[in-house]
Amino acid sequence: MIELRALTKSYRTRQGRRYVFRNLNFTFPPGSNIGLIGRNGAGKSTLLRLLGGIDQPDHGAVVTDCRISWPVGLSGGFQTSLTARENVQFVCRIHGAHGEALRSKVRFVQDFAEIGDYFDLPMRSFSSGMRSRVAFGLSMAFDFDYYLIDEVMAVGDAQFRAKSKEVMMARLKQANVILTSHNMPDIRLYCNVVLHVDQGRVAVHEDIEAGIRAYQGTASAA
Amino acid sequence: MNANILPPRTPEPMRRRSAWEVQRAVLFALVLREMKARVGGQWIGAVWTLVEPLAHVMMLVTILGFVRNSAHRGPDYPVFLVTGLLPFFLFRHLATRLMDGIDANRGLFAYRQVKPLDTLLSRACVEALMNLLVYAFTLAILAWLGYSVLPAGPLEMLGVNLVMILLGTGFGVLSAVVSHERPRLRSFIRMTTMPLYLASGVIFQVDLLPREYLDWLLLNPLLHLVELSRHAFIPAYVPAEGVNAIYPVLVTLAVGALAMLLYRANRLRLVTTS
Repeated sequence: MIELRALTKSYRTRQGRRYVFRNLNFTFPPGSNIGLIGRNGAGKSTLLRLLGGIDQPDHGAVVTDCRISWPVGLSGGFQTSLTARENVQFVCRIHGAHGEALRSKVRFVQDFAEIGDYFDLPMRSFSSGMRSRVAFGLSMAFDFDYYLIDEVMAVGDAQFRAKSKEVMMARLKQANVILTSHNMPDIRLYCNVVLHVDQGRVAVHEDIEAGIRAYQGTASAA
Repeated sequence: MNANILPPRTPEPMRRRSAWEVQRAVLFALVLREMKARVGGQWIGAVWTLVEPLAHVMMLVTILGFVRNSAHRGPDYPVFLVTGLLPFFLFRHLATRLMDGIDANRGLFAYRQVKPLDTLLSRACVEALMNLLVYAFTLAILAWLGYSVLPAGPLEMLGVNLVMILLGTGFGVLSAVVSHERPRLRSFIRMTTMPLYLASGVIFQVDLLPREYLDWLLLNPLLHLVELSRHAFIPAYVPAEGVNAIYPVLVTLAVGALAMLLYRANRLRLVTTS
């Protein structure tokens, strides 16, 4: 269960305060894979940040009893002077994994990333592709109820993409995804409910195609 | 391929962690991370951290030895210097390193467990620990050279350094919060540590100053702590008139409270880039 209660979120800009959501009440349809669509600046990423606990609402709350991931494939949290192994260990530790749990997660990421000896080298020597491999593997190493994805991870070569998709699908057998994308095939592939975010409101479309049409309507009108 | 591609299941269903468990795990992980980043980076940096106070002492002893040989700069001048320098460096390093702490760890706030204050506190732990090591190392070298560096009042010495750590941390958190949306302020704050260095009586005895200047200097809590640190090492050293332990403790409490208040008020803004 994820519920937004009287949620208000605004940002200060040079032209005064801009409200992204004002007093928004909304319950996410339980047990669905959710696609967030909307125009640029409609508030999809803000919503994702609120769900991920990265940003806090001005008023109101995100109420949930689910475990929600950090944005999948995020590599901004890596310290480049540390090795991939040390960075992975850090994330395991803050998520309360230690001892055998920590070792098995590190092993999984190492096997998944397939970057060989680089795993024990400082990450500043990594290409962006190698960084994404570690980042994606790290996200997949944890059991969450919801995985947050901000734009689908089209990283790496064809073989790695296929593997990513396979492991994501394996995760989705027990978990759900909340995904923002401008790429409709991704939405069709992963989601069974579409949330159309527009002007601070959220509309649920159980029928994906109807949701996509609503979004494309506003997109072309704007 | 299929065998290892399935992600590992957590053996037991993950239990909800209490707030305290999360806090402890985050601080522990951050301290380890800071430590690795600080020490494991470049060895030249680690060496410099270790010998900085000694280099300072050597330079000052050489220069001042040439300039004049007054009575109080006798054979114990290096001890006089070091007992003032080390606590002062403790403060300065804490204050300036914490100031950059939020920016340096910005990427981590994407993990909901990590809050800006956690990065500051863990940095303070690592910095204090490093400085205490340097402290011990510097004293050991001086002892090896034949100076008497065993503190006459070890408890007083510990107390002074504890207050120094708290004051440095408070000041560091304060400047991190205040300079978050005004990064230019940082070079200004860094520059003010230079006059502060002089005003804290680190390299000369403030007693030699006329009374009316001394009254102004006594507003600086670092001066009190530096003088008390010397007194703890060298019982014969009489701190300047008006130096006391209460004043720096009160300033530390006030700075700490102000830092916490401003942090609380700005905590949401600190997560985002200005």
